[in-house]
Amino acid sequence: MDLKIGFLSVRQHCEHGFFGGYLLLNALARPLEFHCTLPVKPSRAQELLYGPTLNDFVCGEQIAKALVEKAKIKATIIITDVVPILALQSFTSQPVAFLKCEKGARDSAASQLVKPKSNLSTQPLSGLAHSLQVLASESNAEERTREVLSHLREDFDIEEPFQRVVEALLEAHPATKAA
Amino acid sequence: MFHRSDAQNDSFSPKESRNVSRDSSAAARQHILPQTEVPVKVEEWPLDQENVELFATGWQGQLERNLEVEFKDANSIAALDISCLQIRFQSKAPKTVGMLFPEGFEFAPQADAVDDGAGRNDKTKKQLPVQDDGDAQKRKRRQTRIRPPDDLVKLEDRLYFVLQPPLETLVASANLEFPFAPFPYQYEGIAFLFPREMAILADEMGLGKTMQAISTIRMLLLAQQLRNVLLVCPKPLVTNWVREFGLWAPEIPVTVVEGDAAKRKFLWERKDAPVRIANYELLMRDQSILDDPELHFDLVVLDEAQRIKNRNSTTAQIVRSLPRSRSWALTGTPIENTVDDLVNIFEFLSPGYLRSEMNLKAIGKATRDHILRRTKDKVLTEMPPKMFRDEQLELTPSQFDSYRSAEDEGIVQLEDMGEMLTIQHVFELVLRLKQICNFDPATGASCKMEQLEADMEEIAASGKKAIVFSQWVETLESIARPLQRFGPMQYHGRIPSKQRDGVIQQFKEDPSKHVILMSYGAGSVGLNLQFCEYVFLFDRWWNPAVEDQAVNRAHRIGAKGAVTVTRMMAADTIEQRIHDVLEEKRALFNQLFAETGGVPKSAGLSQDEIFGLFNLKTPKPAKSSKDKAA
Repeated sequence: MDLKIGFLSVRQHCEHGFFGGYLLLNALARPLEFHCTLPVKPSRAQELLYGPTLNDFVCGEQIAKALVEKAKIKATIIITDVVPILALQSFTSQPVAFLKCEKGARDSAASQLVKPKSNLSTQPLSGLAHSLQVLASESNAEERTREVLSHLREDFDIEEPFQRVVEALLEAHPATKAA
Repeated sequence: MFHRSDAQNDSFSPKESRNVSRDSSAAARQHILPQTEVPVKVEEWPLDQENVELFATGWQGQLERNLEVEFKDANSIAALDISCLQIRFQSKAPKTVGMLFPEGFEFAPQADAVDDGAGRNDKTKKQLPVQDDGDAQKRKRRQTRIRPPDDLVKLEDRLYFVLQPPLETLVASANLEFPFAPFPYQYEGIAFLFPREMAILADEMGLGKTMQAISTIRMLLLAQQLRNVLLVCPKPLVTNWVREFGLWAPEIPVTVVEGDAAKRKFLWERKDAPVRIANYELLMRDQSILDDPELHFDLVVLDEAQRIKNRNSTTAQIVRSLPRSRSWALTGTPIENTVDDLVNIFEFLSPGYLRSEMNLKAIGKATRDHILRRTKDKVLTEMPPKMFRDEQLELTPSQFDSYRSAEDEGIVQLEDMGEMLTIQHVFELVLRLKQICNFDPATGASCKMEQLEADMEEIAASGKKAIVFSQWVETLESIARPLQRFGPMQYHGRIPSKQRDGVIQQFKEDPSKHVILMSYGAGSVGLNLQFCEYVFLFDRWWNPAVEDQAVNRAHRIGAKGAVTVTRMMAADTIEQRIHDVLEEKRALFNQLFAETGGVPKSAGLSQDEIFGLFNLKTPKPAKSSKDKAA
């Protein structure tokens, strides 16, 4: 199976807004393509209109959608480490899975970027080496996710690429680094 | 209207007020003025009921007004003009920046590679065989990332390195086999060299600079980042480098440039040699070939780069003229004497990058991203300790007599020379006295030899091995005779190069060989003698860095146990005085790399210090010279 794994993440900065990064890897964990957004800051009107679902809208519908559409290579599966990106599932045919990273504080300690939160309802995938969840409303996402992951090398670390994405975001947006 | 701030318009005119419903209350006689920022003068009107027209507020008047209700036909409601305010939300996609990775980073296909379907080469799920030494699991979990160097400016170039997988992942996925799992600090060394065009790997001797350089070259060759590498090393180390390449990069063909002029020319010009190894001396002979404008190296690596510390030496000039894209220097002693040593190595890496007149802080700041230096005590916490034992020995009576007369006569001679006195004369006396401290030329007596024999008895009895260093071959041969029962081997300039590997091999494998006698020049660099637990410095070298290199032949990775270093010196002699100077130089080196500041500009052995060994004053003409003696 020709695996192309997309690692999509968004980080929030208290001052600059949201930053999205999308890294596509091959089955050997080598980078194929990378895209990141310029800072996205929701307007006051959006904050009022979307209320508690604002993060889902900004991360899933705006940032994630833009990044996936921008990529020239189509991912077999998209893995994210923030729940709001699961909202992307409504706009893409590829399975989107949320990985609950063991080390939540893996982001650089020197960063002021934090993971945005969400109230989306998720469904855990049991029996896997990693703690993965898919959108509860997507009935066939679980099956497709399991199918794709079964082709992954045993030693493929699906948590590690997020560290690369966050470091790339810090590299691309130095202002987000803590003083 | 009530919120207008125009004072004129804020007061009702009498004419206007006629139509306003009246109110008889006193309060209503006044204008009820709108809130204005400008003070308004209120006019009083006469209280004549007939003529007075009351000014009332709008709402008061409205209370008495008949409500007029307008009825409309129900059918006409649809025609009402209801205007909606449209609020547009930002719906356009966020702006993005991105990059596609060039395929060049992919490792070249291996024999058992399979296509991953993307036109790139994939591997099966084979696991990297790791020789388990107890820490292998811990090391497997480690992730060493390649960081972009500070001088890389373009974001795309920086992201290229930031987004690469950890080295451990690259190694595992490419099935790169190592004879044993590298130490974490060795991975860090590879990650340091990998992205850099100018770098000094200045690890302390014994930490595996060779392995780190070879592994990085291997990965860069496989990633097709390099095609043409030249490695320059001292002649005695060529065979060592060939052997290490065979160990750490067996699939990389290595070409040793040697032979007659025609053969060397062929070897320099052949296109299918990804790695060439040449010695420093040979570069001088082949300068005309190296001047060929078509010759270009993707990478030139200098081993024992302190060889070019003298900027004006022919070797340094030739090395600097080599056409190349990347420049690396390997040395355990980037500063042997003065900061100028480092400046001159940087002349090879990037001419003009450092200047001698820069202060220490500025040099430290400028070089921080280009030098990687680790010491054993920091990275190899599990490595056995290195223990120093300074043996101050009393000269034998005959030695003492010879020494005293030689020194007294020598000093008198030096003093008599007056302005003709040069530093060479002082050196000659120092060397003569040091030789007497080793062996009495008249009787052959030696306090050091007596002690060495006693120590060797104990070492041989416990089945251990020792290295004895001296700067003179004659001294080594003198040592060999009384040590015959310990099977002494000799490794120095008089042993032909082709026999040297055999000497080391025999010393390592033959249990009857308990001691090897080495000269500092031949044996202090590049050799792996970690099976020895004892090192004797029979006499002292001028430079502590050279002594450290000698000691680290034994105290290096794989050392079986604690390494005991015995520094022999004759008490109350020139050796002791030199020892004091050496300790000062050692302190300088430690100071500079600790970046503590306040280090003297030059800690080299100045002419004043050399003359001072004999309480001599530096002759006036020589005093102005800034040449360093050692």
